[in-house]
Amino acid sequence: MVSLDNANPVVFLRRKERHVLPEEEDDDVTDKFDSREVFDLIRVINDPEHPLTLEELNVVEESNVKVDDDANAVYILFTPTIPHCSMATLIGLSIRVKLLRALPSRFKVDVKISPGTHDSEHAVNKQLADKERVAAALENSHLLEVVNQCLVRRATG
Amino acid sequence: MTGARKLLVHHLKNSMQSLQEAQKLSGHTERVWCVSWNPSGTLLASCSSDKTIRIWGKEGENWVCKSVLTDAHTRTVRSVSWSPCGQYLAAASFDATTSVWSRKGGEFECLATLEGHENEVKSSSWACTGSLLATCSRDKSVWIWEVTADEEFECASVMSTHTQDVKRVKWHPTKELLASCGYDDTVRLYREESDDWECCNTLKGHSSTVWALDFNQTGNRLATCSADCSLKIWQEYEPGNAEGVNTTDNISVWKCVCTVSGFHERPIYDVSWSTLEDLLVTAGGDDSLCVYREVLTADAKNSPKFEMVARVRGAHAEDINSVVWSPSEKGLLASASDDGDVKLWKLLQEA
Amino acid sequence: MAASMKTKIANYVAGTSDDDALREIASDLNKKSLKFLEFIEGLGEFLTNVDTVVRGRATGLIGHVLNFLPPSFLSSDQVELVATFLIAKLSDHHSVQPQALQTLAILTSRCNSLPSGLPQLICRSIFREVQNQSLSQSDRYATYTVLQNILGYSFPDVEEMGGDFVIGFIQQMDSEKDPRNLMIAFNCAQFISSRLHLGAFTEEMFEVLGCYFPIDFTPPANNPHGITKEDLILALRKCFSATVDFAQHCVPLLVEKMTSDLQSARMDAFLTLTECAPVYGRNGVAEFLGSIVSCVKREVLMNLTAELVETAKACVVAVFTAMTPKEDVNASKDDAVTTSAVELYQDVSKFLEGSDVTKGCLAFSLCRAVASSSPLAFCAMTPLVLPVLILQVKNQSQVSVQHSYLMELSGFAQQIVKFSTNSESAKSVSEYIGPVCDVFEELLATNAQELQSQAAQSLSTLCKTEQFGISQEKCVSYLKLMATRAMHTVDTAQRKLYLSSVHEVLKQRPNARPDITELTKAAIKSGEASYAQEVLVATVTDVNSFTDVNNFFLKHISQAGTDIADVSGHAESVRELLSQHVSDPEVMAVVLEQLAFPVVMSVVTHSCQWKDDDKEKVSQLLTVVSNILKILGYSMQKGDVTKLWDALQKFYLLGDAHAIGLSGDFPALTPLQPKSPWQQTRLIALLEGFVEGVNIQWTVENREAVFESAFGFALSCEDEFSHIAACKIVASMVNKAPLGAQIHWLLEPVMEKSKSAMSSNSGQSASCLRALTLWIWLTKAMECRSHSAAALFSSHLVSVVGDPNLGPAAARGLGHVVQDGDDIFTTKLNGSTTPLYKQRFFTLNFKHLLEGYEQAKSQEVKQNYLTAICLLTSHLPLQVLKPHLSKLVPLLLSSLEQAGGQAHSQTLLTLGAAVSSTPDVITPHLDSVVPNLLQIAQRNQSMRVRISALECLENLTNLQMLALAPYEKRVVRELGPVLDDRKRLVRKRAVEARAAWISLENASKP
Repeated sequence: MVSLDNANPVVFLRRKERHVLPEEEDDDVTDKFDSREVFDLIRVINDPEHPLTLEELNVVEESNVKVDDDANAVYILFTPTIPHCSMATLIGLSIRVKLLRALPSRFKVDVKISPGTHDSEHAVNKQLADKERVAAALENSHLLEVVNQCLVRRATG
Repeated sequence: MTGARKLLVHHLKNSMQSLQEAQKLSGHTERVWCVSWNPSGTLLASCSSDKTIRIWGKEGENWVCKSVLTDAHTRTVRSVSWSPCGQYLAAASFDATTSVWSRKGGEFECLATLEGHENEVKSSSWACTGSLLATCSRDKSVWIWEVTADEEFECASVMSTHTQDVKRVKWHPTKELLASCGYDDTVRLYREESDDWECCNTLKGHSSTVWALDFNQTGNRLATCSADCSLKIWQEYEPGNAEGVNTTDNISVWKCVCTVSGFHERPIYDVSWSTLEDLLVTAGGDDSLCVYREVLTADAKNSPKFEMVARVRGAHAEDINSVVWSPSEKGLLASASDDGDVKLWKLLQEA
Repeated sequence: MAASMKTKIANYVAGTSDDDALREIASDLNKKSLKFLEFIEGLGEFLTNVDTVVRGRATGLIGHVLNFLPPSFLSSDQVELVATFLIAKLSDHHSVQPQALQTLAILTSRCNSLPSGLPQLICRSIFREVQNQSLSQSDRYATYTVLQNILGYSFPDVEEMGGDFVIGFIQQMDSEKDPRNLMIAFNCAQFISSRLHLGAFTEEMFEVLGCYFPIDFTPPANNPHGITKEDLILALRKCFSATVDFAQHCVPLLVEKMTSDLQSARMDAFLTLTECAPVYGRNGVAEFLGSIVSCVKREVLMNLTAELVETAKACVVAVFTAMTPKEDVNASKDDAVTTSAVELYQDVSKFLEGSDVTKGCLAFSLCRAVASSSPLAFCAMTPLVLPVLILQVKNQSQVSVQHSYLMELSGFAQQIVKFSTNSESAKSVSEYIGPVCDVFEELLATNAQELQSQAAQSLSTLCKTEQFGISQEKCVSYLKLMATRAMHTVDTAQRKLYLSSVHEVLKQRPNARPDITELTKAAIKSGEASYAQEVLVATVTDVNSFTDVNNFFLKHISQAGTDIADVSGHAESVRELLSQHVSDPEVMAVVLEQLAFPVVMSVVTHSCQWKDDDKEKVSQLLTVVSNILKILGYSMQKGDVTKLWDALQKFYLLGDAHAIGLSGDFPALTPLQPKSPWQQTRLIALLEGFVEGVNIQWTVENREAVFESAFGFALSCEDEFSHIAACKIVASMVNKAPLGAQIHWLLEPVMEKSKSAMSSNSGQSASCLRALTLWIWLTKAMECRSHSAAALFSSHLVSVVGDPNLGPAAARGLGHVVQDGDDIFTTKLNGSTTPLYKQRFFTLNFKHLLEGYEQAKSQEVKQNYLTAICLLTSHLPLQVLKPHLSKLVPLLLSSLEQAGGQAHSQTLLTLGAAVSSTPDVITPHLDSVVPNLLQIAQRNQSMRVRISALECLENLTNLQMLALAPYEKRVVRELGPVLDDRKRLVRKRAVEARAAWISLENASKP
């Protein structure tokens, strides 16, 4: 058996579904992208090694998602469960790919590790910011399969 | 307003030019990574994540797609480069190979597929003589291939000086001097020394990945651009230079003489130095294009200044990956973007 | 005959014929054309043949023939004969023995009552002659089958054999390895162990079983026998728990396995002990209690998987429960249960008190598991743990961490309530009830929703239990907090939770009510709390409180000068209040006087003050009040219904305001006069609600007159709201009218008049449309009850779809007829709705609509038919549409291409359903479907339509990948811009749809 990096993660609560506000039902109102909407996209991503979502592991938090619709900017910090987590790059890649597929292309997305929460913070950040490496990774069918596993929506129990 | 300030404003006004979109070339179905003019400026090659290469040419006033080269690569085609004679086109791909196409009549035909790199090939470049081709890859190596008389390619040297992913290779415009840059934030120069190729200079200064580089027309300067959002100009100091800069082993040194920053807000992915006039252009992840001109200063060689003369924000709808001046027509340039388009631009003097 | 049989036997024995020969022999035996004895005699020479192969096959042949005969075919003499012969054959040559066993297995399976003495004979011979370990798998299986059959059918004989049988069986079973055989052997062993006194052989029996634990078996890839590891585990576990006698051997084994390196072994050990503990009882487990607890503790704190943790905890619960002495709690202060509980607490206290939340919560949950097992354990554990846990909850600053501890505390609160009936238990924690409540109170006051709601629930659980002596004062303060939370909570589910917490406590603590209602009423008056009214409704627990709250709302409703919207709000509260208490007979006994009349009076009184600007608000108010009357209509007693009806009919027919209780010289009203001002005509909504709910048989007085007035009113009243209400009155009465002549009497004039009103001159005028609306309602009323005359209505309605002027409205009407709704004609509302009426309606009319569409000359009329078809299909289950889909899909597609708005969204629904259920129909149309849907998703004005299109696109991905391949890239690309839709809900769907197509693309990559 392969041993898990962190066999005993603390499990956090899942947020409830976002309430549909009256103006969201109104055809004439434009709903701007906000941090909750982007958070909703990434909170359901599965952790690569636990049967839990990134939200449940507190890897992503709404307060660490910044969205500026007018400036086309999305800025995300994520927090690996432990400082030596070997899955940090994969988690970051999953977030990146999810947003690549789910956000309008006009957005500039930055995905980084929360400062001071990982031993190789700088290296991981640099890799995640390199669009060429991300693009190449997604042409690697093995890696793509792993990422897709993280992005499959599991039944919520 | 003080006199000096007035003068500056006046000066700025005069130098301000505008970049106007001349034509949009659509056809690729995914992001376009690179555009390249043939030496005579009559053809434009572009390549894309859709695994194809497109050749564009002028018909009347308009540029149209002349041919689409497919089936040579199984993954993204990352970059294309023309040989100095304009007869050959090399294409580097994420599938770890480089294909070489020869142009016979109007048709392109795949002449060879160069295998050797362990993984993604990122860039290729032909030396001025046309007898050498350089390629680089994520496998941290730079390869030099010799072109034999019967159109065959032989590996002449493998250089593994970079400690990371090599993003770009570029030959000197007149000498057999090769430059490369990459993920280890450095630029390296190589030359042939007693039958073998070796790294002769390492230029450090950028604080993040160096995405691209280009020599000026004469080859005594090198422009580099980086994910640190800056553009750097490096000056060559030959042995015995007047400035008294130390050289060793009879090899030139290159020093950063100018850093241009504050114009791009996200990584700068490409830089091009015009061969027709003293203009630079950069393109970046902030969707914009910037054109710079050198300002006349007292000590132009050792501390040159560059001013921005034109900028287009939102030149493309997404990241711009590549920009290059036309080798034959002043003020004409081509750009390529994640939005799937290639665009042609004209630099106009502002009225 | 005999000769032919002999040939058959000879051929079979020689191996040159197959089962057919046996079948023929059996058939002859069955038909009695061959006697059994003759058959055996015929076999004789083969059975005694010198060739062992021949003897063997002949012996086996008996069994095979028996297999083709009915059970109990043989007489007991014949059974004895055959059995005796077979017993003898057991000691024959080693190649004959297996055949004898096989045949014995068949014989014992098919003859349920063996002659007395025979079973013992068989068993003893097997035990003596058969060396089971030397036989093949199937022959061993036969041995077990024989023994199992005898255990099952002849148990008294086995009992008589006693220890001989036990030891015999153990020897046969020893070192069995095949899973098929083990399944049957385990079954026998379990039966033997639970039914026979094992005595001296207990240890041997357990040894032969225990060596299999833990079961390690991986079925072959195709698992031809269907036996899984789980099957074997369960079978063995049943053996272990078969008798208390195993305890002394089994528990040590399980404890040993609890520290195994294999997760699965530990899991199995915990599960097995959980099952065995109740059987083994205190004496069985006491000796090992310490080791068990420490194994469980180790496992829980290791926290490898949630399943393992839960399993280990369940095991400790079972063990402690088994440990519980029968005597009174008091008698055993220093009982083993108490000392182990205390020991465990001391053992884990460093985790309980520590800062590692994961370990801490695991330790708490383990202590809680122990506490839950018995009052004794509860008394020992809970008072130790509670103070620590309270501190932990209090001291946390991070919400999620605090929540984890809170969950543990809530768990303990549940245990406290569970054991509250035991006085010792209650006493043991009494000093902590206060502090625990305080913690919950504190959390209820924080800002984190997840903490608040959990705290509210726990607090409510504790307050409900009287034994704890939570003071009135405290209780009120908690309730106030919950009530205040409820008033301000936007999230419906969360609010409901608070409301039910308040309600539950008040049910037990009625004395606290006044304080809460006072608080709530003040909040309602100040208008600051959005949901104060709901809280007030939740405080009602009996008829007295009902009266109080009801009066409060009615007072507000009756006050002159109140804003109509506020009146609506209060009326809505009355409706909610009423609907929550319809099943309380005491409440229902007072509603006529306390609620029905006052509400009607108030509305009627106010009606003359309504201004033209208020039309919209008035409609809302009347709809709410109409719903109140609807509820009254179906929930009041017969006498009250009749009284209310009499009052209403007098008021509406005669304008008699006194009839509804208004006194003094109230101006005369004529609400049923079509030309009356809208303020009066709209009052008809109250009558509508009542008629919709009521049992029509109880409304005798002037029913026909009301019907006729309402009918005339429906045709001619120009106020839309009043007109619709009248249509529904007429339709309800038709739907509810008793079968027989009366309905025809009702219908004939109605049909005639409405038809002629519809076709009157211009066809475009408002009066024609009104007649059509009425007709649509009548059609629905008739179709719902599946009346034989319904077709008259529907066929006319279908024909109107072709009318250039009324067509669009008629098309929508068809949709309305089949639209589901629980607000009219339902059985609860005393209406008549037959199941499957929609299906019938569709089947009868679809053909005509299709013809209409094909024959229509103008594009507009074609469009009407298309709309009608789309609407109709969108309300029907796909099962019904299936046979028509090949015709429907092209129609739906052409409607997609032409229509906009309403039709779109309905069509998309149907299309979406078609996609998921009948891919073969949709696949040929992909070329048109995909671009159309993409267009709609990108361009359509209505977000609902865009959403439906995206859902359809997502559904498409369920089709065959091959068919979709050509579209993958395009769909993914063109959905890109939709991710930037201006509506968030559309974006959400676009993300899902695009993800579905992307995964398709990924899957199809080489």
